[in-house]
Amino acid sequence: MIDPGPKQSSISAVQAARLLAALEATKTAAGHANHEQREASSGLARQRVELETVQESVRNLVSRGRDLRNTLQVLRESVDRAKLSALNAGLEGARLGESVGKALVVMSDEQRNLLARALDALEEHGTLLAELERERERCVAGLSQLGDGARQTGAAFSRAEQQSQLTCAFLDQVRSDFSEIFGDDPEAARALGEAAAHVRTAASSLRELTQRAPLGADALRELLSPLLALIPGPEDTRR
Amino acid sequence: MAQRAGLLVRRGGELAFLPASVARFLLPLPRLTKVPWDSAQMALVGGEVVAVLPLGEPSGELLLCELDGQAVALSGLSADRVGFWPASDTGVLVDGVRVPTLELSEALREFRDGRPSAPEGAP
Repeated sequence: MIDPGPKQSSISAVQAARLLAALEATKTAAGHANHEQREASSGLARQRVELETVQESVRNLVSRGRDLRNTLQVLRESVDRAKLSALNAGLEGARLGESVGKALVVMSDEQRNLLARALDALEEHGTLLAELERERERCVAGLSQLGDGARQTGAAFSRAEQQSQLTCAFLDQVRSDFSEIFGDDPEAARALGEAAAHVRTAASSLRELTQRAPLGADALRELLSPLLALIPGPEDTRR
Repeated sequence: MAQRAGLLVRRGGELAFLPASVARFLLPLPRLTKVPWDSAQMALVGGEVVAVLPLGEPSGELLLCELDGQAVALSGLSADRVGFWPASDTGVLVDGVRVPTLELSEALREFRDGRPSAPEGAP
Protein backbone atom coordinates (compact mmCIF):
# COMPACT_ATOMS: atom_id res chain seq x y z
CA MET A 1 0.00 0.00 0.00
CA ILE A 2 1.33 3.46 -0.91
CA ASP A 3 1.53 5.91 1.95
CA PRO A 4 -1.11 8.56 1.09
CA GLY A 5 0.65 11.38 2.99
CA PRO A 6 -1.13 14.64 3.85
CA LYS A 7 -4.36 15.04 1.85
CA GLN A 8 -4.75 17.90 -0.72
CA SER A 9 -1.13 19.01 -0.28
CA SER A 10 0.98 20.59 -3.01
CA ILE A 11 2.81 17.25 -3.26
CA SER A 12 -0.48 15.56 -4.02
CA ALA A 13 -1.15 17.99 -6.85
CA VAL A 14 2.28 17.27 -8.29
CA GLN A 15 1.61 13.60 -7.99
CA ALA A 16 -1.73 14.02 -9.76
CA ALA A 17 -0.05 15.87 -12.61
CA ARG A 18 2.56 13.15 -12.86
CA LEU A 19 -0.17 10.54 -12.82
CA LEU A 20 -1.99 12.17 -15.73
CA ALA A 21 1.21 12.55 -17.73
CA ALA A 22 2.22 8.98 -17.02
CA LEU A 23 -1.15 7.61 -17.97
CA GLU A 24 -1.09 9.58 -21.21
CA ALA A 25 2.31 8.11 -21.94
CA THR A 26 0.95 4.69 -21.00
CA LYS A 27 -1.93 5.05 -23.43
CA THR A 28 0.41 6.15 -26.24
CA ALA A 29 2.80 3.29 -25.53
CA ALA A 30 -0.09 0.83 -25.43
CA GLY A 31 -1.22 2.09 -28.82
CA HIS A 32 2.24 1.60 -30.28
CA ALA A 33 2.52 -1.80 -28.68
CA ASN A 34 -0.85 -2.82 -30.07
CA HIS A 35 0.22 -1.77 -33.55
CA GLU A 36 3.44 -3.75 -33.28
CA GLN A 37 1.50 -6.63 -31.86
CA ARG A 38 -0.87 -6.66 -34.81
CA GLU A 39 2.08 -6.67 -37.18
CA ALA A 40 3.72 -9.51 -35.28
CA SER A 41 0.50 -11.47 -35.10
CA SER A 42 -0.01 -11.11 -38.82
CA GLY A 43 3.57 -12.22 -39.47
CA LEU A 44 3.12 -15.20 -37.18
CA ALA A 45 0.00 -16.26 -39.07
CA ARG A 46 1.87 -16.05 -42.37
CA GLN A 47 4.71 -18.13 -40.92
CA ARG A 48 2.26 -20.78 -39.77
CA VAL A 49 0.81 -21.03 -43.28
CA GLU A 50 4.31 -21.27 -44.74
CA LEU A 51 5.26 -23.92 -42.23
CA GLU A 52 2.21 -26.02 -43.10
CA THR A 53 3.02 -25.66 -46.80
CA VAL A 54 6.61 -26.77 -46.24
CA GLN A 55 5.50 -29.72 -44.12
CA GLU A 56 3.09 -30.78 -46.85
CA SER A 57 5.86 -30.46 -49.46
CA VAL A 58 8.18 -32.62 -47.38
CA ARG A 59 5.48 -35.26 -47.04
CA ASN A 60 5.06 -35.20 -50.83
CA LEU A 61 8.82 -35.41 -51.29
CA VAL A 62 9.01 -38.53 -49.16
CA SER A 63 6.22 -40.18 -51.12
CA ARG A 64 7.56 -39.16 -54.52
CA GLY A 65 11.09 -40.17 -53.58
CA ARG A 66 9.81 -43.65 -52.75
CA ASP A 67 7.98 -43.84 -56.09
CA LEU A 68 11.07 -42.65 -57.95
CA ARG A 69 13.26 -45.21 -56.22
CA ASN A 70 10.83 -48.00 -57.11
CA THR A 71 10.65 -46.84 -60.72
CA LEU A 72 14.41 -46.59 -60.88
CA GLN A 73 14.75 -50.15 -59.62
CA VAL A 74 12.31 -51.41 -62.27
CA LEU A 75 14.22 -49.52 -64.96
CA ARG A 76 17.54 -50.91 -63.77
CA GLU A 77 16.23 -54.47 -63.81
CA SER A 78 14.73 -53.96 -67.27
CA VAL A 79 17.96 -52.57 -68.69
CA ASP A 80 19.92 -55.40 -67.05
CA ARG A 81 17.64 -57.96 -68.71
CA ALA A 82 17.83 -56.15 -72.04
CA LYS A 83 21.62 -56.26 -71.76
CA LEU A 84 21.51 -60.01 -71.15
CA SER A 85 19.19 -60.38 -74.18
CA ALA A 86 21.65 -58.43 -76.31
CA LEU A 87 24.51 -60.64 -75.13
CA ASN A 88 22.45 -63.78 -75.82
CA ALA A 89 21.75 -62.56 -79.35
CA GLY A 90 25.46 -61.97 -79.76
CA LEU A 91 26.21 -65.48 -78.50
CA GLU A 92 23.81 -66.88 -81.12
CA GLY A 93 25.65 -64.87 -83.78
CA ALA A 94 29.01 -66.06 -82.47
CA ARG A 95 27.90 -69.69 -82.72
CA LEU A 96 26.77 -69.13 -86.32
CA GLY A 97 30.33 -68.16 -87.23
CA GLU A 98 31.99 -64.97 -88.34
CA SER A 99 30.73 -65.06 -91.94
CA VAL A 100 27.06 -65.49 -90.98
CA GLY A 101 26.79 -64.22 -87.46
CA LYS A 102 29.10 -61.21 -87.54
CA ALA A 103 26.24 -58.75 -88.21
CA LEU A 104 24.28 -60.15 -85.29
CA VAL A 105 27.29 -59.87 -83.00
CA VAL A 106 27.94 -56.27 -84.10
CA MET A 107 24.30 -55.33 -83.59
CA SER A 108 24.19 -56.93 -80.17
CA ASP A 109 27.41 -55.16 -79.20
CA GLU A 110 25.96 -51.82 -80.25
CA GLN A 111 22.82 -52.55 -78.28
CA ARG A 112 24.93 -53.56 -75.27
CA ASN A 113 26.82 -50.24 -75.49
CA LEU A 114 23.60 -48.26 -75.56
CA LEU A 115 22.23 -50.21 -72.62
CA ALA A 116 25.46 -49.65 -70.71
CA ARG A 117 25.00 -45.90 -71.20
CA ALA A 118 21.43 -46.24 -70.00
CA LEU A 119 22.67 -48.06 -66.91
CA ASP A 120 25.21 -45.29 -66.25
CA ALA A 121 22.43 -42.71 -66.56
CA LEU A 122 20.29 -44.70 -64.15
CA GLU A 123 23.17 -44.85 -61.69
CA GLU A 124 23.48 -41.08 -61.97
CA HIS A 125 19.76 -40.76 -61.32
CA GLY A 126 20.19 -42.93 -58.26
CA THR A 127 22.95 -40.63 -57.00
CA LEU A 128 20.81 -37.55 -57.62
CA LEU A 129 17.94 -39.18 -55.82
CA ALA A 130 20.18 -39.91 -52.85
CA GLU A 131 21.21 -36.23 -52.81
CA LEU A 132 17.55 -35.24 -52.91
CA GLU A 133 16.88 -37.48 -49.96
CA ARG A 134 19.71 -35.84 -48.04
CA GLU A 135 18.16 -32.44 -48.85
CA ARG A 136 14.87 -33.76 -47.60
CA GLU A 137 16.52 -34.83 -44.34
CA ARG A 138 17.82 -31.28 -43.96
CA CYS A 139 14.29 -29.98 -44.58
CA VAL A 140 12.97 -32.27 -41.87
CA ALA A 141 15.63 -30.97 -39.48
CA GLY A 142 14.69 -27.38 -40.38
CA LEU A 143 11.04 -28.08 -39.75
CA SER A 144 11.92 -29.56 -36.41
CA GLN A 145 13.77 -26.35 -35.51
CA LEU A 146 10.74 -24.32 -36.60
CA GLY A 147 8.60 -26.45 -34.31
CA ASP A 148 10.98 -25.72 -31.44
CA GLY A 149 10.71 -22.02 -32.25
CA ALA A 150 6.93 -22.25 -32.14
CA ARG A 151 7.12 -23.88 -28.72
CA GLN A 152 9.41 -21.11 -27.47
CA THR A 153 6.98 -18.52 -28.84
CA GLY A 154 4.20 -20.20 -26.90
CA ALA A 155 6.28 -19.99 -23.74
CA ALA A 156 6.90 -16.28 -24.41
CA PHE A 157 3.14 -15.79 -24.75
CA SER A 158 2.67 -17.37 -21.39
CA ARG A 159 5.28 -15.14 -19.76
CA ALA A 160 3.73 -12.05 -21.37
CA GLU A 161 0.35 -13.05 -19.99
CA GLN A 162 1.80 -13.24 -16.48
CA GLN A 163 3.36 -9.80 -16.89
CA SER A 164 0.04 -8.45 -18.06
CA GLN A 165 -1.67 -9.76 -14.96
CA LEU A 166 1.00 -8.20 -12.75
CA THR A 167 0.61 -4.87 -14.55
CA CYS A 168 -3.15 -4.93 -14.13
CA ALA A 169 -2.77 -5.64 -10.43
CA PHE A 170 -0.31 -2.79 -10.12
CA LEU A 171 -2.65 -0.39 -11.92
CA ASP A 172 -5.51 -1.41 -9.61
CA GLN A 173 -3.27 -0.70 -6.64
CA VAL A 174 -2.38 2.74 -8.01
CA ARG A 175 -6.02 3.57 -8.53
CA SER A 176 -6.92 2.49 -5.00
CA ASP A 177 -4.09 4.48 -3.45
CA PHE A 178 -5.00 7.63 -5.32
CA SER A 179 -8.63 7.29 -4.34
CA GLU A 180 -7.51 7.44 -0.75
CA ILE A 181 -5.26 10.44 -1.45
CA PHE A 182 -7.64 12.57 -3.51
CA GLY A 183 -11.00 11.36 -2.21
CA ASP A 184 -12.21 14.85 -0.97
CA ASP A 185 -10.74 17.03 -3.70
CA PRO A 186 -13.20 17.63 -6.61
CA GLU A 187 -10.43 18.63 -9.01
CA ALA A 188 -8.36 15.65 -8.06
CA ALA A 189 -11.42 13.41 -8.33
CA ARG A 190 -11.96 14.62 -11.87
CA ALA A 191 -8.30 13.97 -12.68
CA LEU A 192 -8.57 10.58 -11.01
CA GLY A 193 -11.62 9.72 -13.09
CA GLU A 194 -9.76 10.54 -16.29
CA ALA A 195 -6.75 8.64 -15.05
CA ALA A 196 -8.88 5.63 -14.20
CA ALA A 197 -10.33 5.64 -17.72
CA HIS A 198 -6.81 5.70 -19.13
CA VAL A 199 -5.80 2.93 -16.77
CA ARG A 200 -8.71 0.75 -17.92
CA THR A 201 -7.79 1.39 -21.56
CA ALA A 202 -4.17 0.60 -20.85
CA ALA A 203 -5.03 -2.58 -18.96
CA SER A 204 -7.32 -3.73 -21.76
CA SER A 205 -4.64 -3.02 -24.35
CA LEU A 206 -2.06 -4.86 -22.28
CA ARG A 207 -4.28 -7.91 -21.95
CA GLU A 208 -4.91 -7.97 -25.68
CA LEU A 209 -1.24 -7.42 -26.32
CA THR A 210 -0.03 -10.28 -24.14
CA GLN A 211 -2.58 -12.64 -25.61
CA ARG A 212 -1.14 -12.16 -29.06
CA ALA A 213 2.62 -12.07 -29.14
CA PRO A 214 5.80 -12.10 -27.10
CA LEU A 215 6.66 -8.68 -28.46
CA GLY A 216 4.21 -7.46 -25.81
CA ALA A 217 6.86 -8.12 -23.21
CA ASP A 218 8.93 -5.23 -24.54
CA ALA A 219 5.88 -3.03 -24.64
CA LEU A 220 5.11 -3.98 -21.05
CA ARG A 221 8.51 -2.83 -19.98
CA GLU A 222 7.86 0.45 -21.78
CA LEU A 223 4.53 0.74 -19.98
CA LEU A 224 5.85 -0.14 -16.59
CA SER A 225 8.61 2.44 -16.46
CA PRO A 226 6.30 5.52 -16.34
CA LEU A 227 3.92 3.73 -14.03
CA LEU A 228 6.68 2.93 -11.61
CA ALA A 229 7.49 6.61 -11.53
CA LEU A 230 4.05 7.20 -10.04
CA ILE A 231 4.89 5.55 -6.79
CA PRO A 232 5.84 8.34 -4.38
CA GLY A 233 9.31 7.96 -2.93
CA PRO A 234 10.16 8.61 0.72
CA GLU A 235 11.14 12.21 -0.03
CA ASP A 236 7.79 12.94 -1.69
CA THR A 237 5.77 11.63 1.23
CA ARG A 238 7.80 13.64 3.73
CA ARG A 239 7.31 16.93 1.88
CA MET B 1 45.48 -65.40 -87.34
CA ALA B 2 42.47 -67.58 -86.48
CA GLN B 3 39.47 -65.92 -84.92
CA ARG B 4 37.71 -67.30 -81.90
CA ALA B 5 34.08 -66.52 -81.15
CA GLY B 6 32.95 -66.30 -77.60
CA LEU B 7 32.01 -64.34 -74.53
CA LEU B 8 34.20 -62.15 -72.36
CA VAL B 9 33.33 -62.34 -68.67
CA ARG B 10 34.66 -60.66 -65.58
CA ARG B 11 35.61 -62.81 -62.64
CA GLY B 12 36.70 -60.78 -59.65
CA GLY B 13 37.60 -57.87 -61.92
CA GLU B 14 39.70 -59.98 -64.28
CA LEU B 15 38.60 -60.62 -67.86
CA ALA B 16 38.28 -64.21 -69.03
CA PHE B 17 37.18 -65.78 -72.29
CA LEU B 18 34.57 -68.47 -72.80
CA PRO B 19 34.20 -70.00 -76.28
CA ALA B 20 30.78 -69.70 -77.91
CA SER B 21 30.66 -73.46 -78.05
CA VAL B 22 30.68 -73.56 -74.24
CA ALA B 23 28.68 -70.46 -73.29
CA ARG B 24 25.04 -71.04 -74.19
CA PHE B 25 23.06 -68.16 -72.77
CA LEU B 26 22.77 -65.72 -69.92
CA LEU B 27 19.86 -65.24 -67.56
CA PRO B 28 19.12 -63.27 -64.40
CA LEU B 29 20.24 -65.16 -61.33
CA PRO B 30 17.37 -67.42 -60.27
CA ARG B 31 16.82 -68.77 -56.78
CA LEU B 32 19.59 -71.22 -55.93
CA THR B 33 18.89 -74.27 -53.83
CA LYS B 34 21.52 -76.03 -51.75
CA VAL B 35 21.61 -79.79 -51.98
CA PRO B 36 21.15 -81.28 -48.48
CA TRP B 37 24.41 -82.59 -46.93
CA ASP B 38 26.35 -81.20 -49.87
CA SER B 39 27.97 -77.91 -50.82
CA ALA B 40 26.49 -78.10 -54.31
CA GLN B 41 23.84 -75.64 -55.46
CA MET B 42 21.13 -76.26 -57.99
CA ALA B 43 18.91 -73.99 -60.05
CA LEU B 44 15.81 -74.50 -62.12
CA VAL B 45 16.53 -73.19 -65.64
CA GLY B 46 13.97 -73.57 -68.37
CA GLY B 47 12.26 -76.34 -66.46
CA GLU B 48 15.47 -78.32 -65.97
CA VAL B 49 17.56 -78.67 -62.85
CA VAL B 50 21.18 -77.73 -63.42
CA ALA B 51 24.19 -77.71 -61.12
CA VAL B 52 25.58 -74.27 -60.33
CA LEU B 53 29.32 -73.71 -59.99
CA PRO B 54 30.02 -70.68 -57.85
CA LEU B 55 33.05 -68.87 -59.31
CA GLY B 56 32.80 -65.69 -57.26
CA GLU B 57 30.50 -63.35 -55.43
CA PRO B 58 26.93 -63.40 -56.80
CA SER B 59 26.64 -60.92 -59.70
CA GLY B 60 22.96 -61.19 -60.47
CA GLU B 61 23.66 -63.23 -63.60
CA LEU B 62 23.82 -66.90 -64.34
CA LEU B 63 25.67 -68.25 -67.36
CA LEU B 64 24.42 -71.52 -68.70
CA CYS B 65 27.18 -73.55 -70.31
CA GLU B 66 27.52 -76.89 -71.99
CA LEU B 67 30.48 -78.99 -70.91
CA ASP B 68 30.95 -82.41 -72.46
CA GLY B 69 27.29 -82.46 -73.43
CA GLN B 70 26.13 -81.61 -69.91
CA ALA B 71 24.45 -78.38 -68.86
CA VAL B 72 26.27 -76.54 -66.09
CA ALA B 73 25.49 -73.09 -64.81
CA LEU B 74 28.15 -70.64 -63.63
CA SER B 75 27.50 -67.96 -61.04
CA GLY B 76 29.76 -65.16 -59.82
CA LEU B 77 30.60 -63.99 -63.34
CA SER B 78 29.66 -60.74 -65.02
CA ALA B 79 29.21 -60.91 -68.80
CA ASP B 80 31.11 -58.16 -70.60
CA ARG B 81 30.72 -58.61 -74.36
CA VAL B 82 30.45 -61.05 -77.22
CA GLY B 83 32.62 -61.05 -80.31
CA PHE B 84 35.29 -62.54 -82.51
CA TRP B 85 38.88 -62.08 -81.39
CA PRO B 86 42.26 -63.32 -82.60
CA ALA B 87 43.26 -66.53 -80.87
CA SER B 88 46.27 -66.53 -78.56
CA ASP B 89 48.10 -69.43 -76.99
CA THR B 90 46.01 -69.22 -73.79
CA GLY B 91 42.83 -67.59 -75.03
CA VAL B 92 42.23 -64.54 -77.19
CA LEU B 93 43.77 -61.15 -77.85
CA VAL B 94 41.39 -58.33 -77.00
CA ASP B 95 42.71 -54.94 -78.15
CA GLY B 96 46.19 -56.38 -77.98
CA VAL B 97 45.76 -57.74 -74.47
CA ARG B 98 45.88 -61.47 -73.77
CA VAL B 99 42.69 -62.69 -72.16
CA PRO B 100 42.93 -66.27 -70.91
CA THR B 101 40.22 -68.86 -71.43
CA LEU B 102 38.22 -69.47 -68.30
CA GLU B 103 39.42 -72.74 -66.88
CA LEU B 104 36.37 -74.76 -65.95
CA SER B 105 37.88 -78.20 -65.51
CA GLU B 106 39.56 -77.07 -62.27
CA ALA B 107 36.33 -75.54 -61.01
CA LEU B 108 34.46 -78.72 -61.93
CA ARG B 109 36.98 -80.87 -60.09
CA GLU B 110 36.71 -78.63 -56.97
CA PHE B 111 32.96 -78.83 -57.29
CA ARG B 112 33.02 -82.61 -57.39
CA ASP B 113 35.67 -83.05 -54.70
CA GLY B 114 34.59 -80.25 -52.44
CA ARG B 115 31.64 -82.09 -50.92
CA PRO B 116 31.83 -82.23 -47.15
CA SER B 117 31.56 -85.65 -45.63
CA ALA B 118 27.98 -86.66 -45.10
CA PRO B 119 26.80 -86.64 -41.46
CA GLU B 120 25.81 -89.85 -39.72
CA GLY B 121 22.37 -91.02 -40.68
CA ALA B 122 22.50 -89.20 -43.99
CA PRO B 123 21.26 -91.21 -46.94
